[in-house]
Amino acid sequence: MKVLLFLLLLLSDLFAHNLQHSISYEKSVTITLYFAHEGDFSFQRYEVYAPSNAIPFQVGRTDAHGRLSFLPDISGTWRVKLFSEDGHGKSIAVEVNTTAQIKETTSGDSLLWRSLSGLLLLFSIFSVIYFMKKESN
Amino acid sequence: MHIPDGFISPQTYLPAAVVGAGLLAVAYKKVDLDIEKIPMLSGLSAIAFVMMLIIIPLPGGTTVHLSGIAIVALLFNPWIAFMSISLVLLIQALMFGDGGVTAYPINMLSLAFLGSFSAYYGYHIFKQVSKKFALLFAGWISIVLPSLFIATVLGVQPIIASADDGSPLFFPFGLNVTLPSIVIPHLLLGLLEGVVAYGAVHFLRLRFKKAFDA
Repeated sequence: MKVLLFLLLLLSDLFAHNLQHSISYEKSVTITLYFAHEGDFSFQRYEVYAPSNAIPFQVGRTDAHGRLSFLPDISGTWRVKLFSEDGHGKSIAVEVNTTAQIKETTSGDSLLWRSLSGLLLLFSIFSVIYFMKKESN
Repeated sequence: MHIPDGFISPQTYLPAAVVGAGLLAVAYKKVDLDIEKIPMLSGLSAIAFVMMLIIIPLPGGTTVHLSGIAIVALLFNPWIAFMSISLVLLIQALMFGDGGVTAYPINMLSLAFLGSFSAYYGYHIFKQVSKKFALLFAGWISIVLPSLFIATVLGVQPIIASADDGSPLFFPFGLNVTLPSIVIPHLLLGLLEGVVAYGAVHFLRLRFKKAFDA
């Protein structure tokens, strides 16, 4: 009898090693990273930080399409840090409001827009230098 | 090759900012640009700006871009190139987040300073042997040396700044990762940069002979 009880106790302990799981389908934050084409920032390291927290909430690597996803549990500004071994990466702020709804934002700066506005600024600066120099001469 | 914000520790970027500001002050005193050359310099700076925006993806998830630094350094001089490329990097950092604001001194020292001076002196070392080879080498070294500097700066971050438990506070990969993953692609890209530098300098010196002989 004692042996049987011992075995039963041992069996209950075995349940503690049985990894349980549950599946739910909820709205999460998904960030897609890319340089020129989708998937060219795949399998790169990232860290997700909850608002005012120095310890990462989630760490991992982007998927084959260069995406990462996390499920925020409090409102505030979440921060996602991305690193690739070759020194590329960025830090992204994600705003989450009290009802855990996520404001969708994109960087939205196309190569054409960046080129044109950057060139305009560059030429403006050199024009100022030119006219200042001309004036002083 | 532009390091973003959050990768570099203050122990690194604060001294780099002091050195960078000092070098800009020296450049400001040394540079006396002819007014007639300003339009050409603005055009070449614009070319460098656009070349840095065009990203070339490589196998393994990394990307590289050309710089055009050697072209400016060889057609003008390294101090002028240092100032103009520093301006290009500042616009990229402030307007587009291409390279972080805190990392700007490191990006400036590596790309603008090392890139310009290595191209200029690389050309002058080899021009007695062959001018063609010297131009190719100038373009190659203007990419490779900055990549080596950036790989070293990133790779030492886990040593310079880490938490009590030893976990890195900034860029997490060491030199064993950064040196091969940054330098090797740039050894290859340098060949393309060399060809572009050769073509551009050769063409512009022929086409605008008067401007560069003056």
